[in-house]
Amino acid sequence: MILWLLACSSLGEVEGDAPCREVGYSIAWRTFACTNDPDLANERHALFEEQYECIEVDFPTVDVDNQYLLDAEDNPANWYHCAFVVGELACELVDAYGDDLDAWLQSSDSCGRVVR
Amino acid sequence: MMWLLTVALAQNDCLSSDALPVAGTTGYRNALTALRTNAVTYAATAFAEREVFPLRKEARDEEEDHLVMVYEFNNLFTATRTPMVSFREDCPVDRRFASHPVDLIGANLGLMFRYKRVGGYYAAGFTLGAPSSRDTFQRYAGALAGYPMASVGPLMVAPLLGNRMALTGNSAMAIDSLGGVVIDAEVAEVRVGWTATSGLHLSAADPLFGLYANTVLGDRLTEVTQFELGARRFDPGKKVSDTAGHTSLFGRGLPLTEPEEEEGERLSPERLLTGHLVQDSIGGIVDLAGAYALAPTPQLFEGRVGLHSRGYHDRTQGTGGAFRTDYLIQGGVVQLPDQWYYGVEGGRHPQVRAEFQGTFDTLQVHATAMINDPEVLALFPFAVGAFHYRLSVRGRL
Repeated sequence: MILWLLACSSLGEVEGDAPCREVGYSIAWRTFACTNDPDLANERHALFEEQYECIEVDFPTVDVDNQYLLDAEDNPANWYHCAFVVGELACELVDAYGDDLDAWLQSSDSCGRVVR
Repeated sequence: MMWLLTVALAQNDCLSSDALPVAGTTGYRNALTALRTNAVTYAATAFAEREVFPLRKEARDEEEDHLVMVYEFNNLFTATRTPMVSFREDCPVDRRFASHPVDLIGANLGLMFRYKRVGGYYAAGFTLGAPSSRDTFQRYAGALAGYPMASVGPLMVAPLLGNRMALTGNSAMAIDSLGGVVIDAEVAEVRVGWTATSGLHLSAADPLFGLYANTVLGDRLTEVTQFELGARRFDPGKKVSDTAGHTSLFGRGLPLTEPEEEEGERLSPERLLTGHLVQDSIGGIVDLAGAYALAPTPQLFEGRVGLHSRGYHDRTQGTGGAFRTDYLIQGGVVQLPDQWYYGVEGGRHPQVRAEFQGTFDTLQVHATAMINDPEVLALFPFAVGAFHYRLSVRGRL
């Protein structure tokens, strides 16, 4: 039991397709936050999975001085920038884009690096 | 096994309070949601309704004037995971970017007294959430002893601190308190109080049949923050209850999300509406329970069966100076809807619960271990498979 607790509670590996999957979650999250409609949020996530394929990324190692992952708001090179921007879209844009997920993914240049 | 232990301990070199979370990830959002929900779940009102008021119903049969006290401590290990970057030099380079576990802690203190037909109550909640400690010993020793002891002070002086919540990165601390009066109007007991975080607390219970209703009115008394109504442990008479047990039937509405503000307009929070049927102490030893979710997705929410020692549910009846132990083992299934906005795929999950209870006269110590408890998953749907530990002490004078 103690070993199970230790193993399950320790660090976990971040998989290569995580930045892409996060984009799908962000679309669902933003839809849910703006519409309060869980079904619509789940439908848009299903649409994302149906229409797009994930690109697996190799995470570079993090040097002590390298803060490349920390500038999520400003750094388009960040693997998570796409998920971050999509998850912060204004509700008017969420309404305007609707089920047009191509429009959602135009929000950041980095979307093309993790999703195709 | 030794390899597993070595790996786990080595990885913990990378856990650190100065590691930084990656924004834009569902793990980061879930951590923030969990921290806020944690504050609501273990807020003073919810605790008073769940643990303190039921004690009063059971205690009033024996004595008229009394004081009841409950302390409870909860620790949900790895409620969620957040991708984080560690800058510790002793952390191997290939592990500096990894998903870190976030633990949630909730402690509560409740007091209630009664003198003739009037009384008063006090409840307080202290919650804490943060990436878990890098030191394994510190993490578990803290959960077992450090945090429970450290939480008592803030809980006792909570009214002086007011409603406070501090949120930094994916760590948070919140404190809440509730105070009110109880009036025994013979046919019903009415409780009116004020809670620091939510607003007006109204509660009423019929002490004979167990009928009850309660609500919290927030946002300047215009919004029903939470509600619950039904019957708790209806007693059909000793002859029937010895065989068929006691029935509880109730409905509950809990906020799943925080209210959003859009262009100055406040949107209502998404709610989890559930109906519950519990038949406990069938033949004195078996509990059956089921719940159905009405919203957001109508579906069977949970089903479980439990086996316990006789007298397990008699919380404050007293043992007359003798020491008694009781136990409960429970298993079942909980079903969650798809909630991709939390990164959660729906489905059925096994739930397990084990409880131990030691009673000496009117003092009771209670320890519970749970995995996939429905009440927890309703509020933290991303905590599938998380280990939850609860310790409580109850007493009556």
